[in-house]
Amino acid sequence: MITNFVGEKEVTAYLRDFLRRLVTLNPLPNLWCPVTPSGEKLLRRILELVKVDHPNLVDSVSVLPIQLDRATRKIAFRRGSPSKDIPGKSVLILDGAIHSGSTMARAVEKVVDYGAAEVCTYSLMLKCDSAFIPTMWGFMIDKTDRAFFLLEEIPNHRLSAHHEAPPPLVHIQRLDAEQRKLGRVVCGVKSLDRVTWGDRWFDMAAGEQDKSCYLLLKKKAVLGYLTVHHTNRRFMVVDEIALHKKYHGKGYGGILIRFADTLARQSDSVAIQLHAIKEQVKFYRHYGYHQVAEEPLNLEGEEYQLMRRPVLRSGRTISNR
Amino acid sequence: MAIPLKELIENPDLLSKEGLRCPHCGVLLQETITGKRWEGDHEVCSDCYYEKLGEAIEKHPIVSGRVRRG
Repeated sequence: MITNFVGEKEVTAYLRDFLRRLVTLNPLPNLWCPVTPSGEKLLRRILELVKVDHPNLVDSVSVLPIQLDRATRKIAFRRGSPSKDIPGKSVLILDGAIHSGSTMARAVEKVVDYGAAEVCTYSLMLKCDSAFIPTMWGFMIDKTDRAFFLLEEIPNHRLSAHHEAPPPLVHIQRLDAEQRKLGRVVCGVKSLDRVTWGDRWFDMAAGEQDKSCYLLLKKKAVLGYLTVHHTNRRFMVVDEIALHKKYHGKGYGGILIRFADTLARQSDSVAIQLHAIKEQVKFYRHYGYHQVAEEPLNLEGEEYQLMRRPVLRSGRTISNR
Repeated sequence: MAIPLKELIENPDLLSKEGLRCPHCGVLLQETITGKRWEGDHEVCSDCYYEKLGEAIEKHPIVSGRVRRG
């Protein structure tokens, strides 16, 4: 998993080259449609280049911004009148980044429906497993990579559950043999509290599921832990997440589940799954998990339901089973 | 009418500077920076998403059945 930072100089170079190629097209796209704020951000930079390098375009091109209603996945036009502006035009649709390709595909479909004569597409960044490959693009990144461009600040990552508070002084460490004698984490669930670090170490070293257990540590105190394994269907299973009772309410649970998502993403998993206690099924649904049709797990009188959530990744969807 | 490029060059602010904001903390949602995650039928930033999910996990730890050895 690589994080790419594309600075102002590089973006300008990509866009200058793009414009040089664009003006060779016949017919020249004379209606430009930036998609979402990311496309509009790119267009702002293009405007500066047009003014200097291609002043002949100034009087021949008009702009019709496109937006996506992410809840309904419907394409809309932020200004103008598509039924009057699009018919017969050669259209350029541009976006800053293409991840899954679904937005770009929808935008193309929409302008074609409105009667565009030709459609050309561009994105500065393209994910390699996107379902949509544009006419031209700047650079391609791997499916688990991330790219930042034209930012005023470069964000750091941190172990934190909320941006308002400073990050707590904690770290995460994969359980190792030396830590088997650490104090237990008492979370209040018997089936978890009786498991020793030795048991977890044994699971990691010799278990069939190739589990990994990570400890959330503040100096030498274990605040909580996370255990995961991967299935051959590329699901990452969260076997355990628990926080010591005395550390509840400080955001540490959020750190662990966020780290679980990071692990799922960097391991190229298609989904993350966990057993949610029956009373919490509705809550997990609200947060993007769906119930998997499987018999509930009964543990010491409590019923747990298998839930699954797709990992944020491009180009693919997963089934419910 | 679509915006003539000439007009846009003279006034780039006709393009939007704004986007969707997190309904909890108000941060401007940018997928690669703040994250965009679904909470019910609206999008929130990753920080708010994990904060809420984390609170639930603290109260109800995630458990899976395990084979006991020994």
